[in-house]
Amino acid sequence: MSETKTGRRTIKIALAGNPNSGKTSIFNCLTGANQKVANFPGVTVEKKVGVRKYGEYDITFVDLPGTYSLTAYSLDEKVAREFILNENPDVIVNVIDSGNLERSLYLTTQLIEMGVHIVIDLNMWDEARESGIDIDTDKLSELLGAPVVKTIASRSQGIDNLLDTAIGLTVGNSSCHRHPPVSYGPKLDDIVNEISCEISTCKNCSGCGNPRWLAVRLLEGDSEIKARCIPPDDPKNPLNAVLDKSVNHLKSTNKDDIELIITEGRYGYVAGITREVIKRPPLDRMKMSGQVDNILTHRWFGYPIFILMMYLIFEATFTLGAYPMEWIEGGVSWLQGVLVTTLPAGMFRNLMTDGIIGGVGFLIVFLPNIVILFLGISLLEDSGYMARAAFLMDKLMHYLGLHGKSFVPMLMGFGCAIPAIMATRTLESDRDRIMTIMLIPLMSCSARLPVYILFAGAFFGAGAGIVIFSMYLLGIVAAVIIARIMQKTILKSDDAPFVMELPPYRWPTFSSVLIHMWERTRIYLKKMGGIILVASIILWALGYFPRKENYSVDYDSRIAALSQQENTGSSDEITQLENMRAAEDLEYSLIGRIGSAIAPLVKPLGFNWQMGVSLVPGFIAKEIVISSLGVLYNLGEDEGSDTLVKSLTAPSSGITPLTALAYMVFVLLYTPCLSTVVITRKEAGWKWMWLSIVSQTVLAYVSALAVYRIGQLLGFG
Amino acid sequence: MWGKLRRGFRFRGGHAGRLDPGVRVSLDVLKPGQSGTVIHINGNGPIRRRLLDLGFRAGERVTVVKTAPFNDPLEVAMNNGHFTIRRSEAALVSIEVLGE
Repeated sequence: MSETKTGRRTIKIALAGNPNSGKTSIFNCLTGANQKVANFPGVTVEKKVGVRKYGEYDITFVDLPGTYSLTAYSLDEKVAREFILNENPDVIVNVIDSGNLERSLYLTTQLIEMGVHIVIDLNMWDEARESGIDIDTDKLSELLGAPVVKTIASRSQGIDNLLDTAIGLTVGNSSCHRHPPVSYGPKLDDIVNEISCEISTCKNCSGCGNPRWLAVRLLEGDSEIKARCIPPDDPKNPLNAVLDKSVNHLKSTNKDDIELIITEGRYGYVAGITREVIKRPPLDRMKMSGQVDNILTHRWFGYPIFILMMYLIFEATFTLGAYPMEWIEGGVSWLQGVLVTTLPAGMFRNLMTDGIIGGVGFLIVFLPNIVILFLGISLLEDSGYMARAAFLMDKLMHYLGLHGKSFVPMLMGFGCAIPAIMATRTLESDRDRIMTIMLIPLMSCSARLPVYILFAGAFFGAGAGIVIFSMYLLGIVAAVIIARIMQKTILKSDDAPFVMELPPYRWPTFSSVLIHMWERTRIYLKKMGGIILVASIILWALGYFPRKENYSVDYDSRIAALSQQENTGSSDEITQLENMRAAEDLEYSLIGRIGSAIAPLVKPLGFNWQMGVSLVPGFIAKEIVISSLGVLYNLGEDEGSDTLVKSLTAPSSGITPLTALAYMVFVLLYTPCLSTVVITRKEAGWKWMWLSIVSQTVLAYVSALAVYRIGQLLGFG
Repeated sequence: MWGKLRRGFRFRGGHAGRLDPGVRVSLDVLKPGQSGTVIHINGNGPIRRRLLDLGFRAGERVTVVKTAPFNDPLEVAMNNGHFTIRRSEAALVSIEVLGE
């Protein structure tokens, strides 16, 4: 705690607790929507921070990741304990599911050992009472040496009391904040005491943490703590000798390993407390959930219900979301229209309409998708169904080296990769998250469909449906192959445990769903906004510069001459001339030049130069592929696809069904769009962003080449 | 591949229906509805640690509730809740079969 000049005091409070303990609901109650989501330093574990003014205090709340323990085995646990060790929160609120006291206290004992001030928050008190549990809170408080508060986060009950108690601890007016040491039984306690005495006299260890906690961690063989306390270059450290002696003693007198002995000791201590404070044993709190699960995870009904749920979320996100998307698109083009009529023609107008508004429009057009998808995801998570989805899908996803929960983001990839990649935040393991992010772009998103429809329709006639379907299938097959390769090479399975709780079903609360949605939306707008804007302007410049001065035809004077005439064909001719000029502009611009430069590269794939050039703006977004083709075939962007089909199928274009197929394969597999690249960088980092761009482009090229060449060998095209 | 599948099948089939109380097996061998008492958690590293932290420890009674549609993972119940666990993880938990 520190005091500012204005006399206000600042307090830092961290929330710790098991997954499914309602910790995030408590956090929401404490801070309201006043939250920021960032990552913990150096890792992609989410750190939620909220601030609140309360009386004379400025309180900062930090929501630590939900954990069962504080070892160094999982990233979440490491992050939580690093925070407690390094950032010295004034108070830790230990959120506990009252219906599951024993397992929750297992974490509590570790927090107590770390020597921090804790408040025990018995959350979901109503649920516990309904299932018949009664806890003697005074006794619990006395045994743990920490204040105990009852809360019901879903109804915001007990929150102020919790806050007052936490503040009380920082000013030292609470009667109990001296925790009796966790006991592991007399024999082990002696050894722990001996080591912690040695640690207290050690100069290295001052500031490392509570000696007793360090002693236990050292005994358990925690390599990170060991590196901290005993520098590797100091083998003569007296601590080393004491530790070795204790470890050898324990090993010789027990058949179990030390990790197990300590865990048993801790559980013994916790079980003792639980026996004393629980007045009435719980009825089976899973009874209702069990009945629901008889249907929802049923051997035969489980999958149909799951598919139905996924279908509903998918449809809501992308079909229902299409309506607000249309309004936003309408608004954007209206704004562009207004600017076109009010601003003088020239570079600035072009920058405003095509560069800035085009780019920002692109950003906000996905908002409805993101809002609806995260509404669905928070319903799945808060109700407890997400864990069941993992239960149902794990066999399949495990084959790809993924976690059962990866299914939901992967599926959303068929709609749009951007919300899908954001949805990977539901995955706990970093490795699973990165792998899923790398695979999502291979799910054929809705923006690629118009390209398939155009080309399959133009070249395959009645077989178009099968061709389009096989594109989707090819994306999945590619994802399976890439997943298998990544599993064997860069993302070796890291043995992350799958085993997890199937929490009781609960009704999601309105406020927590709303806060979750709002959070995601804000992250999306804030983190994407700047980069998308900059990137759009750069890409606009690539398409705009350099300006062509000398056209092959003097368009201006011919258009001027034509507009003087009044005969009927002149307006068509003017459009034709304008389209020709646009095509010349595009060819002359940097994008056009890049396209021409890569034309020899795509020649082996059988693409003509228009097809080659159209792939370059396709990096911005797949929708642009078709409009670019339109411009390159002198058709203008707005003309119907019928005329484009005619130009594409004309013998002079040189496009055969085989090249069309190769082209579709290329469009399916290469980097989906700029926004996906940006969100990949945001969620996974630069390294994975570049790997994703390069690998997808290479994959697209090789696959298209294979399709074209094998097709030729088989005598097609 | 077929050999591997058949071996796996025969292994599981070998225990079918005749798990007498008191027999020591690993948790993945139990059929839905059967229970056992945890004797020991084998293995090492993160999975074992997680199992211990979730409360899989000697003396706990654990019941297999059901298996997912493709037989993996399992849903098991203990005093402190229900869990989903892969067969490969359940294989680390040795138990003593309890009578039904």
